[in-house]
This record gives sequence, structure tokens and C-alpha cells, in this order.
Amino acid sequence: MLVKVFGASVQGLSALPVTVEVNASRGIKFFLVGLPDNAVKESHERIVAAIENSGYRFPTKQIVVNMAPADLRKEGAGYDLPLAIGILAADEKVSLDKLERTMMIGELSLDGTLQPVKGALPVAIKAREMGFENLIVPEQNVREAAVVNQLKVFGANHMNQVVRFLNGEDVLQITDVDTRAEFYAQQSNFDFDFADV
Amino acid sequence: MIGPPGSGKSMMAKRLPSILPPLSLSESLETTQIHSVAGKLNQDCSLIAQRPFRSPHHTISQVALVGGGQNPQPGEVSLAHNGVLFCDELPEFSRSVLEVLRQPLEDRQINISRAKYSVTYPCSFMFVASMNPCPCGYYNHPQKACVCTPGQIHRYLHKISGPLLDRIDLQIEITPLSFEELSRTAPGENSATIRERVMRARQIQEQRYAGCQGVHCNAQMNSRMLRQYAALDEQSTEMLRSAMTRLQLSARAYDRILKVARTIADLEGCENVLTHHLAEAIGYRNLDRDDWAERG
Ligand SMILES: Nc1ncnc2c1ncn2[C@@H]1O[C@H](COP(=O)(O)OP(=O)(O)OP(=O)(O)O)[C@@H](O)[C@H]1O
Ligand SMILES: [Mg+2]
Ligand SMILES: [Zn+2]
Repeated sequence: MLVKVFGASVQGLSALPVTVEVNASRGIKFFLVGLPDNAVKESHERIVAAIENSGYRFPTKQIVVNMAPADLRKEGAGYDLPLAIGILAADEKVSLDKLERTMMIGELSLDGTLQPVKGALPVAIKAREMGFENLIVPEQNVREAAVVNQLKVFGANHMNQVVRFLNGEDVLQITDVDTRAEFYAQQSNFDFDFADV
Repeated sequence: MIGPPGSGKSMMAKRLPSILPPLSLSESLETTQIHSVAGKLNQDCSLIAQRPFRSPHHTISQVALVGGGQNPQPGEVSLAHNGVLFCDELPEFSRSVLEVLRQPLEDRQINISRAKYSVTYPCSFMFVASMNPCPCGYYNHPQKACVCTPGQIHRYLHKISGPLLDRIDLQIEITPLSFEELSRTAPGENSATIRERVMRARQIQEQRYAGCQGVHCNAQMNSRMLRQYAALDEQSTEMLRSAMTRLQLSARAYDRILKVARTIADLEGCENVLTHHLAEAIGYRNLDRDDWAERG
């Protein structure tokens, strides 16, 4: 089965969408195509471990992953989450329902825990600009991404939570930040004052 | 800021963000994005609410200072975007690191090119630095004796190149307070009061440049605007001319002195730049003179 999951690539101060296409068919090989850098290529081993340690099975099929657009530089570990979700979805373990309205980023630990990524704010800005309804980010990045409004920003600690959320078995907490109120409240709250000099 | 150990240089630098005009929302978004991309945002923070104050250690590398690397990352100059970059103990920084600062100070952005792509990070920051006057620290000290030779002092000061010094508009000697003065003096003016004065001067500038696209403050004036808005009378012109010769100032320093004089006049709420504004601005060019260390 062929599925698409949406991630993003940070280039300078902006982000560009990356479509992770995963196809599962008969066989037992794993291919990753579409100009990923070494860190992304190495993610294969990490994703296998994360999936198996999260209580799922890595599919015993031939898996082909394409990251598009192919000419876009892709670096870092932020694609772990869309890759893992894509592999499970191609194996029909994740419902496709929310996938096309959702962008996600996150690095995975071997036990399936999500690790923070760089550039969550530009990714959130891009997600809203492209009309995505949901953005899933590691819990540590949730407040910076939630600066963007008109976008549902969800933080997750573990891959399991993301799978259950996408399958409608569980909810993730939406993080809503009253950015302006917080901003103006902290603006003149300095630790040091010239009165001491 | 040049002065002996313990005279309060670091103390004052740390307080600078508290007297700068507050960040606007759009400035904050720029700065927050840079910190987000660098992975340097505090977890409980959404938008950065205060101007950043970055104070890199003098052992910092070129790449960490201005940005770069295999997967290009913003450097300290960009993390300081819309805020303050403080180089404490400036002569301790390696010469090559100090030299790479010049371009970003001028361009207010950094371009990092790789074979297949390039990225640009903004870096519009206020550059603040501190140093001791000599290796032992006590040159020109009211109580303590300096043990350095003139040659040592000279070499120490010349670690800061002319072109870098040229870009420093306010060069101030800090003299230490004695114990009696420290314990006697009433609390100084608080940051909020100073900030109001700064904002008033900024407002005057906003109004003056209302018709000039992309110009909001004196620093952004071009030479034509300088002639119009910082025009000098005959006496001031003569004063500046003789200072230029005496201090051997560059054309860049000339423009910069005029901008500082314009700002001093704005802080006073004065329509024209007068002789005493100019004299004060020239006075902040202390270190430009080659004989700094030879003065009595
Ligand atoms: N004008 C002053 N008013 C109040 N306190 C002062 C003043 N000057 C110095 N101090 C005190 O001295 C301490 C040391 O000052 P600070 O660290 O800023 O010195 P410095 O000039 O940076 O010295 P160094 O060259 O050793 O780094 C301050 O923390 C403060 O307690
Ligand atoms: Mg100090
Ligand atoms: Zn000395």
C-alpha cells in the first residue's frame, strides 16, 4: 500500500514541506530515496528500534520510502517521526484519516520517545501557510510552535501517542498560547536594573 | 568600555537591554525564529519578549560567532539580532575572530554559501565590548600602580584593529568608584526612567524620517540625509575638521560622529546639532588616537 505523510525541512529561517511517500509490497528490502543526507539515512536503524520498542512490528515487507521534492536538501533527524508513521501506515497500522491534514516533525529515540528538533517555529509558520489543520511536534517544542495561530498544535512525548491520536483511540492536548498577552507581560520584566549602578 | 577590573563594565553591559526600546512583535518574531532554528529557545518560552543579550566567551570560534558549519547554523551575531552582542575582555578574543565581526557589523546579515544552496541569517545587533586598559589592568588607575611597560600596553590595545575600532561609536573610559563613593552614593537612575528618555529620542527620529523609506533612526541615515539633518554651523565644522586631523579619523568615523551628535541633540530635544553636541560626540572617540597609551 502507498501512503503519504507530511514533514518539513528547515532551510535558513524558513521551512519547506517534505512529502514522505512510503510503499509497502511483497519482499523484505528497505529503500530510502530522494537525496537524504547521512543523518537521515542512518535513521533507518533508529526507526526500526523505535517501532519495535513501541510495541509494533516493523513490517516484513519490501518498504520503499521516497522523500519529495527530491532536489531539496534534507538533513537532521526531524524526519524520524513522519518516516516511522509512514511505515506503520503503509502496513495498515495507522489510519489515513487525519494524515493528509497533518504535518509532523520529531526525532525518535530507540525506545520511541520523541526528542526536540530545531526550527519548530518556521515549520509551524509553513504548516499554517499551506493550510494544514494539525501540526504534531515533540512536547519540548510545543510552545514555540504554538506561537502560530489558526493551526492546531499538538505536543507528544512518545510515538505511541501519535499513533493512537491518528487512529482516533486517544486525544493529544492542543496547546494554545496567548502569545500577545505573554509577550507584553514579560516585556519589562528585567533581572538587572541601572538603579544598582 | 575601557577600565580597570571591577569598575562595573560587565555590570553596565548586562543592563543595556533594560534601557533599549521594547521589542516590537515583528522584531520578536524575527529573533524567535533565529533562536528556534538554532535550537536555543527556552522550553517555557513562546515569543522572546526582551531584546537578546548574548555574551560569547572569548574562546569562541569564528563559526560559532558568525554562523556556518556543515549544516549551516546561525551564530552568536544572529542570536543577538535586534539586541546586544557583548564581547567581554575584547583583546582576549583571537584576532581572526574579531576580524570576521566586521562584515556582519556592516551588512546586518550573514550569507552562508554551500555548493548547492545558500542561506541568509539577519544579524542587526548593538555591539558592546569591554576591555582593561593594559594587561595588568591598572593603567591610569587613581590608586593602584600599573606594572606594564609601554610596549606591552601598546601591543595590548593594538589587538583591536583600526577598522574594528572605527565601527565603535562610543568609546568610554570607566573610572572605578572608591569604596567610600560606592557606599555613599544613593541609588542611580532606574532603567525605566532612562528607557523613557531613549524612547522619546527615538520618537523624534521616527517623526523626522517619516517620509524616508526604511529609515527609522539616526544610525540609518545616508550621507545626503546627514547633510540635511545634521548640518553644522561654521564653528562646529571647524571643530570637526581639526578633530579629524588630530585623531586621524576615517570618512566612516566622520559620518558616525555626526550621527552620534544628532542623537545627543535628540536626547536633549534640540532641533539643530550644536557645538556642544558635536564636542561630546568627538569625545567618545577616545581610543582612535594612536597615542592613547602614551597620555599622562
Ligand atoms: N558604579 C558601580 N556601582 C555599583 N556597583 C559597582 C560599581 N562598579 C562596580 N561595582 C561592583 O563591582 C562588581 C564588579 O563589577 P564588574 O564585574 O562589572 O566589573 P568589570 O569592570 O567588568 O571588571 P573586570 O574587568 O574584572 O571584568 C559589580 O558586580 C558591582 O557589585
Ligand atoms: Mg567584567
Ligand atoms: Zn598595566
